[in-house]
Amino acid sequence: MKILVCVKQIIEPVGPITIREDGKWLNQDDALDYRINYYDTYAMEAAVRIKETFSDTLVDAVSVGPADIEPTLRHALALGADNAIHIKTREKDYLPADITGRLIADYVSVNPCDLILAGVMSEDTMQSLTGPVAAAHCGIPCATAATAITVDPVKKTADVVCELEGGINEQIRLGLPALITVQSGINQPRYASLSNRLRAKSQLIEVIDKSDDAAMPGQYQKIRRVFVPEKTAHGEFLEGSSTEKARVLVSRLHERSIL
Amino acid sequence: MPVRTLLIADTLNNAVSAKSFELAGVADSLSPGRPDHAAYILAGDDITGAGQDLAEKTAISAIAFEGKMFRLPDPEALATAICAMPELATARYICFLHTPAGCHAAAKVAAHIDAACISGVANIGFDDDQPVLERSLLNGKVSMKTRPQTEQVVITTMPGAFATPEIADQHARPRVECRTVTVALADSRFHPETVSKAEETDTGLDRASIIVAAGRGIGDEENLALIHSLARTLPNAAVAASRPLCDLKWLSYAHQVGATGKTVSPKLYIACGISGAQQHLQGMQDSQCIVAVNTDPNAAIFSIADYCIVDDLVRFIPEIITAYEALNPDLS
Repeated sequence: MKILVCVKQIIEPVGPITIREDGKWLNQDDALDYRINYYDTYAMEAAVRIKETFSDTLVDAVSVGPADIEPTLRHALALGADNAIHIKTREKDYLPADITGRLIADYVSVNPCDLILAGVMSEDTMQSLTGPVAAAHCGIPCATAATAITVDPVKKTADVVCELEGGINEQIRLGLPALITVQSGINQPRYASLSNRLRAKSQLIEVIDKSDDAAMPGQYQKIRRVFVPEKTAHGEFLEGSSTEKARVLVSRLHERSIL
Repeated sequence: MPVRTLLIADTLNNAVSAKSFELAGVADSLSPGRPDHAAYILAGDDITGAGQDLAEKTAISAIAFEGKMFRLPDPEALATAICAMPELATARYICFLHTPAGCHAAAKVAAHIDAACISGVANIGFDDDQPVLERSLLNGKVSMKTRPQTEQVVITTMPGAFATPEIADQHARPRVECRTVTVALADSRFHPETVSKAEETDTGLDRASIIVAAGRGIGDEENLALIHSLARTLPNAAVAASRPLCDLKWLSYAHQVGATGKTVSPKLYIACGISGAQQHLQGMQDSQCIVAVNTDPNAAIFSIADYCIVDDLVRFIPEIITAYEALNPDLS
């Protein structure tokens, strides 16, 4: 069985975000850090667990983005991916799922697999679309927000528990090949083993170059403006030592008859 | 006038979700004051009655897809049925709710008509008669305005972002049309089997007037003791958690507040080490008073808090307990 896991390198703000002069994206400065998407680590772990059950499984990780997303693919290798594929774009700014989903589907059309896993969403752009767009363009069924996955490679099925809203679960049987987006908490992602980390450092990453505009799908949306929303905060920032802040807080709440 | 906006209601067991009524607000943003430009779509195996109710309450006509395949939520069959309806060709906007299943069906419809698919839309404006959609990034730290580059657009809208408008024309008689759907399922490889409710353990969250909530920012599992201790000190208080904490199994999912957990509105919500992910805010933003404690002064949770405390929880929580006990000396 062949599993493809879609991983994304996300932006993690570690300081005050500022907007680039052209107003179309963020300043890529010290305020931004980069790492693998939280939800994708659960998808990676789900793939590795399937491989542990069915030993003739191959797990590949794919990521779409510019040259500097390589560390995230190496992280996926360290977490247990056998191979890493980098679909390299020129874009350093916002990549809508319209594009990433189509690029992944293009890859799958020449490199078929039995199961595609992806995080249910990315932490930075929160589109929740890359998996579903890729599935739609691959013409395969899709299940979203999975909290349990059981694969039967002989029958070519996957039994999936999907989380709907409000604590409701739906049990779905998928015929493979299929795509599943993985909800956090489905498993406990393991730490990368030392041997995997060493292998990940030096392993060759397959690069598929899409950095030429002609190689990209058409444009589906255009950013007009990116901005830091005005603070609607009506809240009061309490000042002073911990003791002073606690006293002020309790007396404010007491005045409002809340405490 | 052909239908300009299709609104896809979220249904379960032949009932329409409360959030689906907000789609009427989305339609109003797209064609102000013209509910007749929109049509709801809803699916079930006995859904026409719910369609009637939805149409009456929103003054928007409804198309009810009825068929056995809609007994359980099936975004694949729903998208296939939408792709087959003649109204799709002339619709400019196809709007779903922003849920994983909504995004799933949205992506499938968008692929079929090769339209832009833009999710999590929180506001809609127009510039030169062209729609400009606003959505949030990085947990609300940044917003973006984006312009679809295709004539038709598929969107998913954020719950809570669009209010259901008042009905202007009380005499409007929106049409409700039932269509029996027999999507060819023979070759479908998506089979819903059952729907079940997760096991409930009583966390007291529904009854509590004060909720002390913990997030990933509490750092160590042992710091949960502080959260429990604060909840024990305050009257009628219960403990809640953000999703990442439940993912770590530090607290069970029964304690989870947010989009995929409980929605609460206590008198006082004390968010400890919670960054303020939108999915969490959706579940608690209607609390009467919100106190946020976080070491990151830029945490999104501060944008909705009444009282903001930038501090370390390990230091601060014992201080609140002391201050509260000083106020109520008979308790200590």
